[in-house]
Amino acid sequence: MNKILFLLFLSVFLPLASQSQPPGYLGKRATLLFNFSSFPAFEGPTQNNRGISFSTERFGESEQGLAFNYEFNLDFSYVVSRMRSLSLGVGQYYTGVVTDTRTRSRPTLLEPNPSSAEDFHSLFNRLNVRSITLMYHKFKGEKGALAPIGNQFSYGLKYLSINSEIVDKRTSYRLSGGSFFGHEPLNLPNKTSFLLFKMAFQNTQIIKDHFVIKMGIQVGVPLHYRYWEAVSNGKEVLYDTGDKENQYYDFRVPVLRRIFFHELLRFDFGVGFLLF
Amino acid sequence: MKNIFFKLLLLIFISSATACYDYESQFEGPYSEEVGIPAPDFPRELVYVASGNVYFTNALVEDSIVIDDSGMVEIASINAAHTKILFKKADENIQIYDVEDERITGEIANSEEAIWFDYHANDETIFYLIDNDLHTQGPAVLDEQPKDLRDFFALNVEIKAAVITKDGDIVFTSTVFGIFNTDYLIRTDGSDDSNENKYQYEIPTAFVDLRINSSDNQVVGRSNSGLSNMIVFSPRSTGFDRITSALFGAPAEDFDERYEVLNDRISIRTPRIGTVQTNTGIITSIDF
Repeated sequence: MNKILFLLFLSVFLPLASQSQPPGYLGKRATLLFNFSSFPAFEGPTQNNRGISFSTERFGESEQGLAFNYEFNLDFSYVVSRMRSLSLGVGQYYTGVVTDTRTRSRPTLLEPNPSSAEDFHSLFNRLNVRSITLMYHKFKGEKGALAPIGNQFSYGLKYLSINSEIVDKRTSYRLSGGSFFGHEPLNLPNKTSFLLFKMAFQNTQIIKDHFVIKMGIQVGVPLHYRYWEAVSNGKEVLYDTGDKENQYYDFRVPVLRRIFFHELLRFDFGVGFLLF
Repeated sequence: MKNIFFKLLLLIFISSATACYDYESQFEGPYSEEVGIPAPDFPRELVYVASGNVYFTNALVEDSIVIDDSGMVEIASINAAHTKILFKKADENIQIYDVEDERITGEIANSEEAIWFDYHANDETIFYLIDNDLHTQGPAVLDEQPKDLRDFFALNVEIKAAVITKDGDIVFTSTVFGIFNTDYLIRTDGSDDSNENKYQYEIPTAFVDLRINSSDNQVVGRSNSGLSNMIVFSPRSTGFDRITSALFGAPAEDFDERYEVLNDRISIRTPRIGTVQTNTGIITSIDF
């Protein structure tokens, strides 16, 4: 009886576990890919204050117009089965964001005891964004794909680490003579991070020997509900936890919005090499 | 189809390169919390002479320190970086006071007869006026020194006060003696003695205590005729910008901002005006 059951077990599961052909392309499972992705910049400036803006406030008198968001990535992908692969990538790009904040006015000869007066600061920030991306790729076997070659649908998570640098500032002083006395420190954070959900439709082709090219379109959406609420309803909904928090949101909310429009949609193009 | 797609990608790639150019500042430029923030407690940055004593104080005219309490000082000046102060007693040389060291670090030899002096916008060169000659000490800012300012006139003149702009122009006031004495305010590049590079304006009375800001857009002076008016002058305009009720003052970097003095009170005009009483006696000299 046990022997019959054992043979039955083998006859059912062995075909599932074994494969008639090893995964990968000609036995190669690992690919190193240099990827470039881009899309016209809208609803937020590039690092040099260009781009198309429909609703956000412009910073200064810079000429706007067509400009492109971009990102460079280096991806390492590994085939885990005939129709599946995993990839780990690192990326980097620069972009810009306009933020504003307020500080309490300093006393002046005219107003030695300013009570609620505030100075207003408009800032143009240059964001240095570094990312780590983990993606799962599902190849479409019915269309002749075989990992790592062919059409694929991918999804995964992308972690963004953002450093900000204020490259231009315009301060409006509330009190006469305020510029004479300067303003309080802005106390804005210059670092933040976000987590994104990524999806992509891509196609990988062999072009010569071990070289491959990859083209496609990718979509990314930040996973931060509380800040989305602030982006959609105005950051004032978060203004209930004191000055320090307010200044934090003065930075994080507009940066999230900028990152959203930067990551929302991209065309990507990559050149890679089959390693082993 | 593939060719078109590749060309499109190439176009996007090249266009994206435009995003790599750095941003060009339009307003105040880069900002960092580590630098450029004035300390919350205002630095001492105003020097004035009252009852012959020299006071160094902050922009709100509080937290003063006394640099000289001899009761003999006539004039005091401070450089734009607020690191050095000059002051002079009657018949003595001009003293150089170091703000950081909080002590007198030197003096200008043979300057007992100086009637006016100040720092150039470079924060290092000191200029002073003796017997119609403009002298300098420190990095050269004039083609020749001393510069005899009477060379700009054919008639007998007396130079009342003079300052050197950051570009090396000389702005000075003078009384020209003739059948009728005439007073002028003059700006010249000082390169030659011809009238080609000279802007000359007739003024009601030659004023003294000339101060120019390092932005080179505001000159103020004190009337010496008993009219008790401080005159504000834009160096390249064709006349006075304002005459105020103050006696004299010191210009700030912004065109519309300056300190003004009336007796023992100091006001900041921005163009609104706020005033503090110093309680240190009648003020006879001020610089910012």
